[in-house]
Amino acid sequence: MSTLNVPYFSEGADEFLQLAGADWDLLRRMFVPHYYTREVGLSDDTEPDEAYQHFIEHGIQSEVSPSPLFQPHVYEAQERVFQGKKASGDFSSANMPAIVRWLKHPRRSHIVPTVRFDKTYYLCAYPDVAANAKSPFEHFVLNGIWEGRRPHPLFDPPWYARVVGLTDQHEHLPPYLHFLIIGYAQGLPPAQILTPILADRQGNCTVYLDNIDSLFAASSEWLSEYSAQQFEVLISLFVPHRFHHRDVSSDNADGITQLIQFLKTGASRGESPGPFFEPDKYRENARAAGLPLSCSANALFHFLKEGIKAHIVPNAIFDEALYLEKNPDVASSSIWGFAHFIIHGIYEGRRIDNRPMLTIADEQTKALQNWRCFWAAHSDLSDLTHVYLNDDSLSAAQQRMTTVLESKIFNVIYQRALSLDPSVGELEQIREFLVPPIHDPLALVHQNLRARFPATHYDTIVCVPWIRMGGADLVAGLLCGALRALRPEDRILLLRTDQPHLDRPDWLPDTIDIVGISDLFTNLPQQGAQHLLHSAFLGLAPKRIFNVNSRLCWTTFKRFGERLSRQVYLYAYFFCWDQTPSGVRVGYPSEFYTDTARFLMAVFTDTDYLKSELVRIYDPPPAMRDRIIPLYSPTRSTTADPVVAVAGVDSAATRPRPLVLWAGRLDRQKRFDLLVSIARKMPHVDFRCWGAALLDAPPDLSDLPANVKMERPFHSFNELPLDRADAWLFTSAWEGMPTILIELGAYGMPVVASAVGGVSELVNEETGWPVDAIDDTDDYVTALSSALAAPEERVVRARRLQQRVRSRYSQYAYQRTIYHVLTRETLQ
Amino acid sequence: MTHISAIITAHREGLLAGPSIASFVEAIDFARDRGLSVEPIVVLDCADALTRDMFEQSGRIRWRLVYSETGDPGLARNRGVDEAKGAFVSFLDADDLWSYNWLSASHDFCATTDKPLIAHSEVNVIFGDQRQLWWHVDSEHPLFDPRYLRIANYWDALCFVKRDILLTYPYRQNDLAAGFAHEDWHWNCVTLAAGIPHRPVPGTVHMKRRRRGSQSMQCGERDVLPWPTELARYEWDRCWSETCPARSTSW
Repeated sequence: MSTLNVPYFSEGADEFLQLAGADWDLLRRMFVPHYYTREVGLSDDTEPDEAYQHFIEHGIQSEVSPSPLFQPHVYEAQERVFQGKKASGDFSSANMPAIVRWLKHPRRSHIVPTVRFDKTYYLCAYPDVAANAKSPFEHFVLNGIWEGRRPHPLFDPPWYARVVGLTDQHEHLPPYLHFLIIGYAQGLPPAQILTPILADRQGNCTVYLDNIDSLFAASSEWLSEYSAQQFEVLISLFVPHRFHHRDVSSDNADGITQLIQFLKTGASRGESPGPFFEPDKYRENARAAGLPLSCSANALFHFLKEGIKAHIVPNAIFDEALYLEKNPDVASSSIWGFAHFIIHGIYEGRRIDNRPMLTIADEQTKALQNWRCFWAAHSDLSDLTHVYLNDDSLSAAQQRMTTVLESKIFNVIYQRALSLDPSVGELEQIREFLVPPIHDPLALVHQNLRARFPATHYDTIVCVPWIRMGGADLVAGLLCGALRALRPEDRILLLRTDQPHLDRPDWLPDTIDIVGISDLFTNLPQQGAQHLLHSAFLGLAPKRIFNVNSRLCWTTFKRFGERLSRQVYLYAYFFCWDQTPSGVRVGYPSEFYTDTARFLMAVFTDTDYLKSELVRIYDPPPAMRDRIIPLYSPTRSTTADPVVAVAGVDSAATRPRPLVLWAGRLDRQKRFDLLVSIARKMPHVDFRCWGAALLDAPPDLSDLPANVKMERPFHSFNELPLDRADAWLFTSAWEGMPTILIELGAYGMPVVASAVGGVSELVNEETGWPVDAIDDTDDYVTALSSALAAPEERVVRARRLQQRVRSRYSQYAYQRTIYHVLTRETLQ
Repeated sequence: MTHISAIITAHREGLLAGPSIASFVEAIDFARDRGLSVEPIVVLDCADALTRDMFEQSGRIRWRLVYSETGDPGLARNRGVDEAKGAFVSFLDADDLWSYNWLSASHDFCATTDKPLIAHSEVNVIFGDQRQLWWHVDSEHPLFDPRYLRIANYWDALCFVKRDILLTYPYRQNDLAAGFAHEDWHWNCVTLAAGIPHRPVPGTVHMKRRRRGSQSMQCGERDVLPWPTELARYEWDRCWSETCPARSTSW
């Protein structure tokens, strides 16, 4: 923490500066960058360290919390309690931010600064914490939350993670933080047993989170008297709208408000939480079990304390023996059947009797829908249906199904069919009751996919995996730009299919629609995603589809392309093979060319080299060979005049040392390790580098030589000191045609480059310094030394390089090629 | 005038046709008992010897045997329609079963309106290699979503429909090699897009056998699709909501 700028506070600065090292450590580890950046409106791209720096310099003073698990108002309320208990308030100063006061509080370990954590529950649930930690809250924040421990019985991390579909990309955000930062805003429930209660809610997401806080706060008294299991049963018994509290009209209070009121006052007044708890029936069953209650005893409290232990079912609806018979897995476990049903079974669509239950497919709503279906199937048992079912088609279907299957005509038909063919089988054995589209996991995704598109039709769809910083992403933008220029009236859609990233919207024309759909497919098998993408292609009815590196589009082409090509012209781009660490080529050209070439209108390559390799390997017939079209990616820069090499040479006298530039992803392909080795062998030269790891684990940058300076990726060439540098070094192990070399060519930059893939189509002995032995540091050093030693030659070769770019990599040439390819459509 | 042409299509069902024939006869008898004239037609399409014997040597009912070599379920049904004289037509596959009341209940259901209509069973009991209950939804329900037909089918082929509709919209031939099949799904899309509702008949049931090697199971294994129709296009949504303004609000 020594590098942090400690902010100046006009008052209280001394106290702040006196934070102990352990307190700093706690503060840093409590800090949740994702939460903080959202709270203060910083970009999502803000690095965690930058966000923390911002918090220290600005956030603390403005009372912005470092985490959703620090609530200043909760802390202050508790602080007042402690002040009341201890008259001396040396730890408290109105001018100090609450977080600092908490950190410095002499009895910090006793103060939980949030209602979102229940200390009593945590200590009880995790005895190891009591033995080892001085503060359960700090244990949770520092360790427990990352270990999947529960902060409260009403937050269920594994269930939440499954429902949300938390994947690797959320690894940095554990389920509870995800809920407190993202999930609540989407109205997601924190635990399955709250699903129906929270489904019946009013107000926006802020009100929703406030209500969750109020519920957690109202729970604390219960948790000090009852175990977590007893409390869980209590919540599971609660059914909103059934409960008519005298202070709350069921017509205008939502489910959570009713539950809070019930916990605060209703239960103690003897109100029933819902149809699963019938006080009279419970009294009767308890008496039969040898646990009679006095007339004045609260039946619910008695049930929680005694009835659960004795497994006394508190209603006439549930038959324990029948449930265990219907659910043998429950019978073979030690769990009490009734508790299992109200906590789990009802949400899983389990049956308590012979009544059928609809099969629900949608994972996100399954729990709620199953709960509703249960009440629809058992509408005779309660008056809930009129409240919950209304016009809900699912519940109506459930009711209709129950009615039909119980009807006389159906049973007559079934018996007659059985007499004709015994293999029709027992009705009892049927477990799946399907009402399309409710049973189909693709149905809701299909609906949501349809809703993503701002238009019902596009002339051209360009599929990309994402828009990040890669060359293919840039090419997708260039392609969209060319299509827009060639067909100004056409509707163009750019579809991000594999990941949500849209890091460089500036690379895309602003007159096209840009839609991301990857999130919709998170929980679907690939086959399902392909089916839906294919349906979207048919739905949007484009004249043509271009695939620029989208894996989902490739696999969809492979599966449906032949059929799709009867209606749509299909195009695809190949760039270059990837390589395994042992040097074996892998990637889209090998994976998809042979399966798709026969129906693709054109296969674009960004180099002659890739076309010649495809032809060499597969030897396609002439017609198919002619459909492989090299399409040279155009420069986006205006060619510099004079070339920047002139300024570089001129500025050499003003610089103490030669300067070489390098930029690229810090991934295996780009061979940043070679740059480091070269730099070590050329200590008299400075190397400025720009980049970040994207695909691979980032390299260790802690031991770079002194003459290497590493910076974050650049956004524009204007940020680079091209006119104050001597050469550009390019070290990739494999490539198609790197767009960065085309741009550097447009500027007229002297380039030393590995002669891989299509690079030698641009950089050769005439236009730069190609390096053939691409793994040999000495060859790079030789080439670089040669370039640095010949300033006039640098200018000469840079001019030739620029001329090469101007003639071959121009917008005009690019558009002309696309124009000719599109012309083939009308000839077909 | 013949009220109903009851068409059973057979291929290589062999002994499995026995219960189907019984169900076919039972439904026809039940309908005739209620005053309906029913014309039974058997289409033996590329039928193997045993299957032919099952029908040719059955003495349960008088029926017309039609021989065809289409090798295609849709074309076989079309062949039956060519032979049919009834105002309505209903199909049965020779390994499935109708409920005994199917023909009479569907006729009653369809005869209540002059509007074109395609009737389906209320529920299908799937038996054999799968065990399910499949419910036929009503395309006239305000919450019905026709867009689901873009990714899956709602209704099977054992429908009850005016013969005119089948003459106007015959089944399209499958092309398994090209990856196009599911002729019933395709026909449902075509007819719904033409504005003809598909409705379940209350109190009726079909028993549908699922067995490995059957044509429908082969379709699933071969990853085939129905031929595309205008319903596949998103722009069609506007046509649908315009036919019934109330629908657009529920979307």
